[in-house]
Amino acid sequence: MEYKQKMAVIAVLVTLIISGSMVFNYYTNRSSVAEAAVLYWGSTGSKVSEVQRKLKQWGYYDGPVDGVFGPSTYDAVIRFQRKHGLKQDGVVGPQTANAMGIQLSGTSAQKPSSSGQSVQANSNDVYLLAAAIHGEARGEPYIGKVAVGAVILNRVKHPNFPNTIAGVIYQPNAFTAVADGQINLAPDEESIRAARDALNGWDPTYGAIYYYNPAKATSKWIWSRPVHIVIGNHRFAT
Amino acid sequence: MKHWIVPAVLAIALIFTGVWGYQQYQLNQEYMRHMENIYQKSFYELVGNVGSVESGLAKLMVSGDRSQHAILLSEISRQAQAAQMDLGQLPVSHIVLDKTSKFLNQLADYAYFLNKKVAGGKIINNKEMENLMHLHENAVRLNEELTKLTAETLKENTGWGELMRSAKTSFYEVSDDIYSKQFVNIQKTGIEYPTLIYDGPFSEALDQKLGSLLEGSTVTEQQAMDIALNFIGPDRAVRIEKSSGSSNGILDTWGFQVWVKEEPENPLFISVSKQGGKVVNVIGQRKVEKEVLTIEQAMERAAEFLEEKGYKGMEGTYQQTFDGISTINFAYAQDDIIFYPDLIKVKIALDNGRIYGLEARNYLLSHRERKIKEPSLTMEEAEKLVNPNLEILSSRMAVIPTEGKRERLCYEFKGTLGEKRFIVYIDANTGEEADILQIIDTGNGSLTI
Repeated sequence: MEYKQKMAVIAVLVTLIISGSMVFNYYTNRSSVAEAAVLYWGSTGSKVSEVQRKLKQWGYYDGPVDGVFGPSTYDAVIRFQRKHGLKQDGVVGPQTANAMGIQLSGTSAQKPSSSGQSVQANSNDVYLLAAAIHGEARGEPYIGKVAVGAVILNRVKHPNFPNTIAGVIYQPNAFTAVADGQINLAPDEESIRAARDALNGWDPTYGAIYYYNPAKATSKWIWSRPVHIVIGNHRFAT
Repeated sequence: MKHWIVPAVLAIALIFTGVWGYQQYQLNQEYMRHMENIYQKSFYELVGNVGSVESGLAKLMVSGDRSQHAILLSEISRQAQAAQMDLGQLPVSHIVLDKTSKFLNQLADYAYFLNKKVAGGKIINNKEMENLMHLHENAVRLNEELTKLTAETLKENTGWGELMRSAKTSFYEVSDDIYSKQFVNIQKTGIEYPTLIYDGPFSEALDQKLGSLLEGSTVTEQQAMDIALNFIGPDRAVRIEKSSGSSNGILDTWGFQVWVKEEPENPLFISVSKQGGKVVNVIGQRKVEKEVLTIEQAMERAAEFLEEKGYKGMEGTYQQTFDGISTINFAYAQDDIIFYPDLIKVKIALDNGRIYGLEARNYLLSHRERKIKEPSLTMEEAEKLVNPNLEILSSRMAVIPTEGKRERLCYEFKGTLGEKRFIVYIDANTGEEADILQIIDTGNGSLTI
């Protein structure tokens, strides 16, 4: 009798744990990864000063450059947004910052990136490319990262593929990191450097448009492509 | 313990799981339907756009009116581009789409090129008409195949969701669903047209070896290693190792990794051409803690570095600085003419002034002794062709690369309009406005005026 009871209690617990963890898993998976920095009423710091300096230079703002986002800064931002046809919310988000020509996340000279997750991107392209590199080539040597970025950019220029960076990266069934969601991880500094080098024209693959891991690729088709270079675990081919 | 507790708890857990599972199922169905609708929309738009392209080309064949030509060409270009975008959104392996994609891209590009020509007062010549006819034949076939595919999927009621469920995990494999099959079919039988060479980004113009720098004797791997070591500097390099070289037909290289004193973790990758033994590129990275040099000093250092490596007459044209690393573009200048195709990029750290990157491929492929013929326009004549509202700050002669990788002799005018800065290029022979660049100051880069 006792044995049966014990078994029953264990069965109940196991059921609860399984169903509970399913639900838990589901909700935790939904949390997003990186959020863009924004400046709003109450923000302080050197980025606010930069905004104030720009606004002052262009005559939107006549208060002091003190690094405190107060009412007069707020008014100035609204005026700037109205003039530039942006949403007038008094918040310096990515679009407003872009229109001002400033980077929200700052340069590493001011902010030592001990977190390792801090992201600096001058434009969406750098960030997107870096995220794809990070998802696809983490653990590869630096040149392998630049090479993956170069392949994406070679595809943009190639007639057989979509013509924008986002089009190439998000083309269905093109990259594993996109299919399994790893592209949503925040890219590290090395990936961002690699993305910049690739965008600046460094291409160690000399025009490759495919890459594959010979240990994993089973498709006959991909093995038939001429290989340009082997870097780390990847073969780069056209 | 009462005997009913256990079954009761189990029953509750079961009901709870069941309800949750059903909700998940519904949500899943909802997402699937949503995805399916997006794919369906892309597909229908693709069919529609290809249809319009086909009829646009057909009209172009019979139209004799030049202004009508311009309108039709711009429509064809726009719709082919839209079709190509739709194609890129379909969840079909890109292997089965590549020829179709290329066809649409080149068609869009070629129509745009012809449209520019027609807008410039010229007419479509016989050769180009013939190309258009071939393109039209292909468009007709593509249109037919797509219409057939639509009919079949409607008959069999195969949704894109079905396709997603049965999708292969390997991206380089072709699934056996109806869409993939049909696209394979299109690739095999449908698309064949003559090689298109024109001035556009998707033209078949290939990388060409125009200069003589990559000719001459072949270097062995050992010789190349010495060249690489010398390039970095024997007192800076700690260790050198062979790495895989590369080959793409026109430029074969030996590859090396060089560890340097100040960066024990991050080796520099350096490749040396097998023909001529030139350093083609250097790729490295560095985390800069404290900037010591100004950008001007960095540019000077980079220029000295190039001079030292035998690249004379290089002029800094543009720089970008991120995280304490400046990337500086240099172009070759001779007799006060700047040759933008002869481009070398140098990456330099602002803390120690050392070089962490070099990209000389463009220079090596295109640099040569050029004979510049006296242009038919003078600088003054060209200046009159610039929009009078532009306040010109400086001007010079420049050779710029075109999209189809050719070269064009131009007058370069840098100036301002209001607060915005522009560079305008006027073709030195035809007087056409070859290009307009707007200088957008992002705070990280600047052009040297």
